[in-house]
Amino acid sequence: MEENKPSTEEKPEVITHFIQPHDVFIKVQWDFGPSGQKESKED
Amino acid sequence: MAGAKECSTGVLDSIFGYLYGSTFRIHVTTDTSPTVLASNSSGGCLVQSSVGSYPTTAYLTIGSSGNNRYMTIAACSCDAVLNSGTAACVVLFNVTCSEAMYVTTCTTQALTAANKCNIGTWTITVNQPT
Repeated sequence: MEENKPSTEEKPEVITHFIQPHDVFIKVQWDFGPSGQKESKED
Repeated sequence: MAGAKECSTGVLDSIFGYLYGSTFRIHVTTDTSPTVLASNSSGGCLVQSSVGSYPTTAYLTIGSSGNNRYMTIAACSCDAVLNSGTAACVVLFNVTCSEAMYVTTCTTQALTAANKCNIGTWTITVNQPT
């Protein structure tokens, strides 16, 4: 019985990259009226 | 009793309703310069993947935690890496790629053209104002 020989043809190795996106947190900040006004900082 | 800041859940739902209804592609890019964002397959656009049949897709799930809202973008496998470069951003695009609707960062990583790429799951959360 003939033995199966591996192909000698070279194939470039394909790598699977893994990308992990960073989670996103949207912070809603509403300032209403004088009590909600932020102090402005001027350089 | 002191007043408190709050946001209608309908407002938060509308944010994710728009994202859910419009997101069609996910790109991995080198940066978010206008040139890169305008490119579908060249230059700094390293990977692109469709996330399902517009306008509904199993890749996107809207969830709630009390009056807060979040959207989960499921993990997906992509076609071959288009261009070699350093991945730094992941972008949600609309169907025509005319609008980069949401951009997040990722741990920078060198990608090589013709390799494959998987993207992990991530979430966008909008909580009640504080």
